[in-house]
Amino acid sequence: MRIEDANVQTIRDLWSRTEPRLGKARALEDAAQTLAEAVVGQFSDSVTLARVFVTLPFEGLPPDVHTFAQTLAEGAHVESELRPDTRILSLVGTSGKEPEWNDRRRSKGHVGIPLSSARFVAGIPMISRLLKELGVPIEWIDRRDTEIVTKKLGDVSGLFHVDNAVEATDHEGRKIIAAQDFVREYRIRSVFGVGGAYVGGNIVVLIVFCHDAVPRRAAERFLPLVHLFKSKTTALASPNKAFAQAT
Amino acid sequence: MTAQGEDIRVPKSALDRLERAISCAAKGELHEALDVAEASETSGGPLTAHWAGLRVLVAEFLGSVEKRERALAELQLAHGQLDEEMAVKVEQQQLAIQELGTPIVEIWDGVVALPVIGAIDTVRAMSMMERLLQRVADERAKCVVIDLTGVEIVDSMTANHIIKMGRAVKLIGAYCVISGIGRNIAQTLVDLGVELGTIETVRSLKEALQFCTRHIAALEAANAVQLERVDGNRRP
Repeated sequence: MRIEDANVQTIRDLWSRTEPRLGKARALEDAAQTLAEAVVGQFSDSVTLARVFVTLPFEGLPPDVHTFAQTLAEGAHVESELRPDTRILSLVGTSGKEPEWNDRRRSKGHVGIPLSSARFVAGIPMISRLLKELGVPIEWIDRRDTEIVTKKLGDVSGLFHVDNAVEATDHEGRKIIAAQDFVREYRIRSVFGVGGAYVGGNIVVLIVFCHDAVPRRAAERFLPLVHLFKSKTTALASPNKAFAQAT
Repeated sequence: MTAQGEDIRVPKSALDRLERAISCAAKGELHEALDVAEASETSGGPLTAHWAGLRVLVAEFLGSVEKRERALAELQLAHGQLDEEMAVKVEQQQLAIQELGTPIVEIWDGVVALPVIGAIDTVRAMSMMERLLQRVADERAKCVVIDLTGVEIVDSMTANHIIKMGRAVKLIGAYCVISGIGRNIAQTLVDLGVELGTIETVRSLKEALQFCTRHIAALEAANAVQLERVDGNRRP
């Protein structure tokens, strides 16, 4: 099925098939993996890759995500900005056309992106636009006021949408989807993400890379999925329950 | 610690747990707070009632958070459903307006008329042609009158659409007459160099009907003659 053909009933059906499996998840990554697989399975005529990310504190991440985030920060010379409570946009679920895209441990890129400072995030067009479209001004990263951030993020919910992954640029003329080699190789046309925040402030976002054009109206159909997913995984949205190996 | 005027002794470990539970709750880590409260409540001690209160409070809050998420999802789904129903209704209404805007009526035995009102764009022209040809085929109409009395002005695109309709009618074996070409339209057609070819034009719908009835009469007469010849040839 194509995403453009999705309607409310499609989303309801998708959820009713997915929900019982989420109830059995022992870690957030199990639930996220189930969601990513469900989206790819239902919309295989459109989706090349679906990924679920959650922001988690740097301290307590599994070694692979921890190392990835550390290496990324070092490469960008912002390792000094990494603190134990720095939020890392961590890959918790992945499903796609290539075998290595179906296990987060085998994924090579975007495993953990440190939201270490507004300046660093501004340098990653996709992430800065993602946060902006979810209603999170990236300046909050520098504020370090956990209480304000928690209150603010509790109400975050939104849609990130890039109609044309090849052409879309930000106000500085940079490609929103920076991985243009991936876009070309897999003929990615549209990218969208739906996200929200748990009451503790951890953001969860489902990002879907599609090889056909997905209008904004069709992507909006996926917004309820985030709330439904959050309602089933609130208990797992803490640092020590996010990954199976940490439980 | 004083409770209702009475001093009670609380172990430091219990106070540490309380601090941890409150800290977790403040950070939104409600399940952590709940776990600490449950464990502390079952372990007994002077704060058991307090732990029970905290556990109930956090559990209720947690439940309301999950309910809120589900309610928000339901709201969005209902909104989406409404959007979809609205889109279907708008489409149905557009179709109805299209049909009302260009009615096709039978004005005589074997004669259907298409009174055109207003501008004709490509979408409307396609719809008109499709419906007209269907009606001609369904009713085995012999003549079609395309009446332009309600059209004030035409451009080259509109003129082309009308001519295509006339040609399509002829192709399926019916006779086509265009009526109601006013002074402005005539002038425009000449300026645009539009050729109407073999399509008949008359001034009014009345003249068109006369034309059609004569045409049908001539057809019937020709058919009768042909039948007589066939019958004559069959006689021994």
